[in-house]
Amino acid sequence: MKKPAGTLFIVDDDAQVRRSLSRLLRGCGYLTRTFASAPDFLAEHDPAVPGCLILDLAMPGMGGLELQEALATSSYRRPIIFLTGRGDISKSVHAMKSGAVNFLTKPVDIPDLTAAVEEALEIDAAERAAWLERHGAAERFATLTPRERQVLRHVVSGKINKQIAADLGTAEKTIKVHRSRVMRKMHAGSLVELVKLASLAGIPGSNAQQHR
Amino acid sequence: MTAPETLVHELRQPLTAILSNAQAAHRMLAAGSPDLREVREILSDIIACDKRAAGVLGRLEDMLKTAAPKTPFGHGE
Repeated sequence: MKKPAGTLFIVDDDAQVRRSLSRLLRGCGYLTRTFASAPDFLAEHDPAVPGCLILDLAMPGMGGLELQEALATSSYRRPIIFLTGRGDISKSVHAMKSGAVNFLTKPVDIPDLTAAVEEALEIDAAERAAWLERHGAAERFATLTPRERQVLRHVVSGKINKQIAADLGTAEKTIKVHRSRVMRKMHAGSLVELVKLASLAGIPGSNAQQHR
Repeated sequence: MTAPETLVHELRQPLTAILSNAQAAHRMLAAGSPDLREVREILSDIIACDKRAAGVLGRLEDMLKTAAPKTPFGHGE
């Protein structure tokens, strides 16, 4: 079987539902973890762990849609499969618009569930790769000193050392030192790579000016 | 006091658990050399869920009786 690796995070307030879904999915070869409430899940959520959510829409207290919202504002939006009753059409439309992968009616049949899980794990794998790239670039950028960040912004906007030195009122030799430090800290092997990393890290202007 | 929608939701939960449990057991048996202790646990859960569903169904019946006591065969008589 060529299943993408990932944990299925089952969030449902009903202990019997949690236990039975977890049993069934473990029997299908997946890793599962269960949570009795949305806050319980959020308290332990590690965006770095691959996987998707199987989430009950109607829970007392914080519901499934609120958990979806909370995840949307966090650093990584994990794919979600909602489990729900049939009467929740308007809520389901809202959830799908907010990026839910699927909406299944309880009681859920095993082929529907595993198909949705496969799809969600594939989406997670694809989005995770992009997220890791962004996340890595942003983390490296955070290690730069204020001066190095300044130099980086100038470099990726296409300026040569001489211009940067003039702009920042310092010697060209000093800029060279900063520049090589920036390259090393950002793990960039070339100017093209540095521009790409800066763009991933969300440095303004790094995209717009690279064609000049 | 309880809305019928709430009872419908309460009925959905044990039915969900029953189906998933039964399918889990089915797969275990199909795979051969099943863990009989786990199969027994699954059956106990199915029994408990079924009783729970029956309890909810009873409450739903009571609600229907009090809502329409005089027209057991529909309206228009």
